[in-house]
Formats: sequence, structure tokens, C-alpha cells
Amino acid sequence: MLQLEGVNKVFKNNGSFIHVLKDIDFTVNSGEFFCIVGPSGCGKTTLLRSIGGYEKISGGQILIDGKKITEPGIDRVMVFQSFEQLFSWKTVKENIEYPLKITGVSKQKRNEYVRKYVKMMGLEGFENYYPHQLSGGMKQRTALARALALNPEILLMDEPFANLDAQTREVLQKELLKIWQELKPTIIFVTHAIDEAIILADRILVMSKQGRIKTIIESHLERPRRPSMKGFSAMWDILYSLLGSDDNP
Amino acid sequence: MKFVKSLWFKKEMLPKFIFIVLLVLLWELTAWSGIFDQALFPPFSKVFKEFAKGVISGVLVVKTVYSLLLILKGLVLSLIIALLIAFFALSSRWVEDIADALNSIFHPLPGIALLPVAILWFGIGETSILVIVIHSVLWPMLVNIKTGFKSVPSVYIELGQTFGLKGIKFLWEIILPASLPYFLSGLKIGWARAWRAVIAAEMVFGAASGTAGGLGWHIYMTRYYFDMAATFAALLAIVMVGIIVEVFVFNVVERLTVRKWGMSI
Ligand SMILES: Nc1ncnc2c1ncn2[C@@H]1O[C@H](COP(=O)(O)OP(=O)(O)OP(=O)(O)O)[C@@H](O)[C@H]1O
Ligand SMILES: [Mg+2]
Repeated sequence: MLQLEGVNKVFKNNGSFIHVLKDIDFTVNSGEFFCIVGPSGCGKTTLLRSIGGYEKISGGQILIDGKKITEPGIDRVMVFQSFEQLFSWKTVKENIEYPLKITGVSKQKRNEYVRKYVKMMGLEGFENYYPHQLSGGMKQRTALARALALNPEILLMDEPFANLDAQTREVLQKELLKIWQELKPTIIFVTHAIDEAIILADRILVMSKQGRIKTIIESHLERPRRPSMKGFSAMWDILYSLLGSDDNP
Repeated sequence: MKFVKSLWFKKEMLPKFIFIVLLVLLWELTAWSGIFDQALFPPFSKVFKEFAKGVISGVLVVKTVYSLLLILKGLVLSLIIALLIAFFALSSRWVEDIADALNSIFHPLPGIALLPVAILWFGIGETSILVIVIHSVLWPMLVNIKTGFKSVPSVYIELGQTFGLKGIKFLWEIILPASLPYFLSGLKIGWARAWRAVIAAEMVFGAASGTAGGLGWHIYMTRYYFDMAATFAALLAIVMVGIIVEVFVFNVVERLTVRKWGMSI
């Protein structure tokens, strides 16, 4: 279980201060698919990076199963938005295998995992490709395979599909859901596409432009979710108006 | 064999090759035209004969190897020092400031200007030459490696932290490969600078204190005896070594690493 208690983040930008996250309080249960939406610049990435341990928070605390986190760790693996998150000097297979090797997984187990996640992410035949030989979608699949193979407690995803075309995005959303249902990791998924959040999430956290939590919406729509299904558009309308009405802090 | 050949030989090299052949022809014709005294401007054929003679008798080979070993020692030592400084500069603001200050002081100083000091401190001999070589190589190499380290995407560093990488392993497995293009260009500059430093330093006191002396000393002596063909042959040896290293070392390494990985500066 992930708990955020009164989390605040202030950036110092050559002399001036930017208060990005304000009194963020929420809890994410194990195995939950949790989405965060909000306008550009509201602090979604900062929030995710704080959970990842990459940013020092200025106030409050972040707990995993009651233990305070202070630095990055193998229990929280991040999939970034950037296509350049794969090690360019390693092949697809080596990229997936490398973190396993560092964490001391045996050669035999590593091969097994690599095979499993290559298959799961549809990367068969690309094992020996270098990242620069892959499409954007393939790169994100590899990054996801690398993260999944580590079997993290929490998967942090920062708009991982934002730079992909609509079709590829849809395919990857489906596959992510399938994998989530199979492995049940906790997923915290940042997006600013409303429909993506509705398709994926158990709960959706809406942030205001000022960096506060506006509300957290629960979604009980049946999976797989399609825009044409009952309740989808109603949810969409709610989220849309929440994101639009951002003038009053 | 075909694979090995394809590693270094590329069609793009053909124009370069043709140009060199034309240049040699022009040289030969000019020498025989009688415009210049052949004692001052020997034809290429004569130089090449001298070169071949030097190679076969081993004189030129010994001198070249002697200089090359000095260069190699200097390069390796500089590389280690530069890597260590750059690595510590990455984690400490203090080290970085000190490294920058040292760089501003020493980088503009030509190696040969330090030779008199080196001689006084380290005596006439290999140590002094080595010091000059290291001085000539270290600073440009440090600048390149530091720039390379700084250019490593923060994503890589954060991934390394997540995976629990630390210290020398972090340097070796993430930072170094990620900044390899800068590293290689630093090495290339270092290589060229090392040659200059060695030749210049050897010219001043190559064969002193019982050593065989390298190419620089050889050039100096052949000029002293007015054996222009032999002087040119020594120059030819330097050029040949340069080309061989470029084609068989740098090009091959680049093809096996940064180009294969789609990396460039
Ligand atoms: N390292 C930093 N130093 C200073 N300010 C920062 C830093 N990182 C982010 N900020 C500021 O914090 C605010 C929130 O940025 P953040 O990247 O978290 O937004 P976001 O919600 O992810 O936006 P987007 O949807 O565009 O990705 C912005 O105003 C940004 O300028
Ligand atoms: Mg962001």
C-alpha cells in the first residue's frame, strides 16, 4: 500500500520559488490501477518522480507499506515518456536482462524472464535489435518489459504512450491491462488524455492547475471499456468539466 | 576475412586514396623537374626507398616503437587520471571547481614550454618526456570526458540508481558507454597531441641517458647529417602510423560501438 501524507514540493528556480505540489494526500491499494490526470504543468511528473524517490519532497511523507521512502529503489520502477530510456548500447534482450543481472538473478532465471516478457510484450524477433533500430512503440514495449521483469511492487508510468500514434496507443493500453490483470502490480499512471484514464483506471485523481488534488473519482465500469459503453461518456463529461473549470484555486 | 575487411574498408575511402596517390605523383614530378635541389627536396621514390630500408634494417621500426610506447604510456596514464577526475567531478562540486581551475591554468600552456622545468625536476630522460606527453593529453581529454559525462541523459542515471548501481560499476556500465562518443573524440585528440609532444620533446634530448631515442631524435639526427631522404622517411613513418591507427583502431572501434548503437555527438 502506498500512502502520501501532506506532500508538498517547492522548486527553487534561480532565486524564486515554485510551489508545485500542495498538501497531496491519498492512498493507493496494492494491485490498484491508479491514474493521475491534470493540466499541463500542474505537477503530475513531479508527483510521480517524488514517489519514485527521484525528487526530494519539501514536506509531508510518502510511505510504502508503512515504510518511508527516501531514495529510488527496485520496488518502484518507472517507465518514462521519453523514447530514450533504453540503454542504446544494449539490445532489446540485454536491456531487459541487465537490471535482473544487477539484482543478482541467476543466468538461468534471467533467460527465463527475458523469454517470458519478450513474448508478453510481443517483442519476439526483435531480441537482438538495438534501440535505434526500433519504432517508438517497440521502444516503449521494451521499457515496459524491462520494468515488468523486475516484478516491482509499484509501476510508475509517466505518459508512456503519449508520443505514440492513436492505434499503437490503443493496442498498448489493451496489453497493459491484460498484463496488469495477470500480474496485479500496483500501477500509477499519469496521462492527460481523459479517455486513456477512463479505459485504464480503477480510480482517477484529478489535479488542479495549482497543484492540489481536486478530487478522486472511482470507476466501476466493466472491463474491457469502450467509449460506446454505458457510463463512459458520463464519466468523460465529469472529468472534462473538472479539468476545464480551473480558474478558482 | 571478408567480414574483417568490411570493418575498416569502405567505398567512401576511395576518393581519399586517389587523392593521396595524386599527391605522391605530384611530389615525384616536382622533385624531378629540377625546380628545387634534390638534396633539399628528395623525390618520393627515394624517400620510400629509404623508408623501406629503415623498415627492413629495423632502425625505423625500433625508433617508431620507442616513440609509440611512450605515447601509449602517456595516453593510458592520462586516461586513468582524466577518468578519475571527471568521475569525482560528477559527484562533488568541489572537485569540479578545482578541475576547472587546473584546466584553465594548464590547458593553454604548450607542453614544450614546460620542458625546461620538467628537465630540472625529472632529469633528462623518459620521465620528462612522459610528463610532457601527459600534460599535453590530459587537459583536452579531461574536457571531452567531462562534457561527455555531463551529457549522459538523466534517465540513465535515475535508472542506474533504481537498479542499485554504485561507484565504479556505475561509471563502467552506464556513464562510460553513454558518453562513449565524447570519450572517443577525446582519445583521438589525445592521440594527436601525444604525437606532437613526443616528437617535440625527443628532438630536444632524445637519445640522452642511454636510451635508444625515438622518431623525434631520429628526425633531428638525420637532419643534422643532412640526410633529407631519411628525414622524410621518418615523417612518412609518422604519417603511416597515423593512418594505420585511424583506419584499424579508431574506425574499427567506432564501427563496433557508437555507429552500431546509433550514437553520435
Ligand atoms: N527540476 C525542476 N526545477 C524547477 N522547476 C521544475 C522542475 N521540474 C518541474 N518544475 C516545475 O514544476 C511544475 C510542474 O512540472 P511537471 O513536469 O511536474 O508538470 P506536469 O504536470 O508533468 O506537466 P506535463 O503534463 O506538461 O508533463 C512546472 O511549473 C515546472 O516548471
Ligand atoms: Mg509531465
